[in-house]
Amino acid sequence: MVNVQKTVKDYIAGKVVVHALRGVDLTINGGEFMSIAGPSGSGKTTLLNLIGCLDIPTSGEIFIDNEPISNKSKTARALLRRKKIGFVFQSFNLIPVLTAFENVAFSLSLLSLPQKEIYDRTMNILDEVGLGGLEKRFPKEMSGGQQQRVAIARALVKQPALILADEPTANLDSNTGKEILKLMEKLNKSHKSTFVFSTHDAMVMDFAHRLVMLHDGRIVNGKKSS
Amino acid sequence: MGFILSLSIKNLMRYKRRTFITAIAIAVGIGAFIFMDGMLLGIELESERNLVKFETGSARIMNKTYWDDHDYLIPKYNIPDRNTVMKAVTEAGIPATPRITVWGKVRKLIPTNYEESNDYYPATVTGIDQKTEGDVFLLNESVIINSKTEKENGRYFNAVEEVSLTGSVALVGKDLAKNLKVSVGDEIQVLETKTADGQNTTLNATIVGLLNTPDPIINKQMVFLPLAYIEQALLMKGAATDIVLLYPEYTDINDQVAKTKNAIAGVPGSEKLVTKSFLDIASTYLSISRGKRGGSAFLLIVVFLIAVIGVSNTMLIAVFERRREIAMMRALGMREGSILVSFILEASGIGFIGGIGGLIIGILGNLYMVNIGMDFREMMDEMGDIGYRSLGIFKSAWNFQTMITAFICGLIFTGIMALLPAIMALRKDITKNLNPK
Ligand SMILES: Nc1ncnc2c1ncn2[C@@H]1O[C@H](COP(=O)(O)OP(=O)(O)OP(=O)(O)O)[C@@H](O)[C@H]1O
Ligand SMILES: [Mg+2]
Repeated sequence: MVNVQKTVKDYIAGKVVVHALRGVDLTINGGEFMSIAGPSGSGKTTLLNLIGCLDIPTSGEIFIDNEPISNKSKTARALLRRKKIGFVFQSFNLIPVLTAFENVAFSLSLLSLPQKEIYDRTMNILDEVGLGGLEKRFPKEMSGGQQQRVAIARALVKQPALILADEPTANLDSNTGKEILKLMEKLNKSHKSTFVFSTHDAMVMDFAHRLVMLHDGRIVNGKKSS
Repeated sequence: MGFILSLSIKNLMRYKRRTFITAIAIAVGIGAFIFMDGMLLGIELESERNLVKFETGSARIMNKTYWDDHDYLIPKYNIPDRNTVMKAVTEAGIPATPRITVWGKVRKLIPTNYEESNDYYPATVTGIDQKTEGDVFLLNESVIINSKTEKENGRYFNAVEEVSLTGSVALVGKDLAKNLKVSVGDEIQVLETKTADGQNTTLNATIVGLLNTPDPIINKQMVFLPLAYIEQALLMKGAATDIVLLYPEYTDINDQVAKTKNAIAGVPGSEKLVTKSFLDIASTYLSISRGKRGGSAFLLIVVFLIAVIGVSNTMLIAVFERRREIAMMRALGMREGSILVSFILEASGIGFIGGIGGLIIGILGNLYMVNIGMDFREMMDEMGDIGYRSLGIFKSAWNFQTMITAFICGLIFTGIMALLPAIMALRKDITKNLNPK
């Protein structure tokens, strides 16, 4: 469902050109639960941002459901993200003035669904991520793990084909991190959404069904574990 | 949209103190604006009332040439038969009074030594008809009758005053009297007054009263004589330079002028007459006084804009603090327009709170100023003529239109102030602000 072809991404920082990705080829299939791993600065965030249509490659092409993204307008990419892609961030990025319920419903409200459907789907997904009864809590009234569950619910509630999570456990202690990964794994099975998460933590990599190692902007090995 | 609105309100409440302080700045700006405008409007309306009640009347019927050259007040161009015109307008139900108004140079008359007094003051000399004067003007209420400083108590003209070839009685504006160093009982002389046939003549009169009106022009440059005396002295028996009319308040002045023209259409010689409302008669004065309100309003808008810049600063901080949140919402596919709207609503929300506060401040201030007012008489005395027909007890008038305008402008201006920072945030790459480094 995602096809990354010969993708290069350069950043220009002042007078220096930073080669963040130096030609990446990668195919991600529907329903996968995979991790992009590598040391800091290896290009994980850059790659996820490109797959997430938040940015476009310097050269090469990325196809989402066989559609190239680099010639799409800003608005078209926003629309594609709204419909097909869910994001989970390292620092949760919840809206502090909204409750757990409202944060999740926010992502559905962008799809202009009927109120009733928004309510039902939001309550269901909150149950599913283990936050039943906490829907009225504000982010600051929840633990890091709970906040990340809200973020996962927010990403998943619109039933996107692809969920991208950039270091989703980096701000959590290892036990909470494990629980989040287990939750993602469970949801990957039940919802059949594709999960791609990045990490530099060996424990986290172990959870992935498939591991892609990045080093200095290149894929150094692609290994599949079971 | 409902969602965006509720998000904006929640974000507004997020920084209560900052919102509150910014709103107070706007409230003070809008409140001051309403207050000042109410006061200026009050002075303007009072001035216009005084102008009509003491100086011009609502309208005047004049000889066309007298009007065309009204800077010179030439008695030759008069209404020869004032009674027919008076009859025509009073029959139409319009209160009216005839006057003869001319220029002259006034001095104090010291019978023993004429040469001693060389202090001349230019004055407008007006003959008034005691019988009808009170139907139009309020002069009779303005005579200083209980003065401790005057030698004698003043009085208004009696129904009939003695008129002889050597003189009559006069009412003099109190400030003019002060300049002339005259008081009740003193004699004055008016020189270089023109008669109907263009000759110079001299008028003599004994002061019977000093006038203290709310109209500084009357107090400073007017001498009133009985019409019976001036018509005889200026060889204008039965004539008048003006028939002064009083229209009911709150009626359309143009309708009233048209009604007047109709009423006098049948009078012989009416083709030589013009009817001019006080808007025409005092046009220079009115445009200046109305311009003052406009000018001060402009200054106040500047004050108000400074308050609005406070909002701009607040929004700049808000957008900067929430740049990660904005990036997240964009990543999730929220429309940039919707994000912009949410910030505009948020800023307008500050404008709304400030506007309500401003209305409260303005209304409370107006309430005081409309009912009690402030006494600026001493200040006005020192400043001299500042171009208002008011002695300086200023009362405000209700200016609801200004209130609504100020409130709506507050909403719009504050809303606009969110645009720039929000657009700047939206022009940044999403990826830059998504993850804190
Ligand atoms: N906006 C940018 N401008 C300039 N250089 C950038 C930008 N974003 C990333 N880089 C550089 O590109 C390279 C790859 O960065 P990237 O953030 O993708 O790495 P990463 O693997 O996610 O690292 P980490 O584990 O620290 O998150 C780094 O050298 C980084 O400094
Ligand atoms: Mg990264």
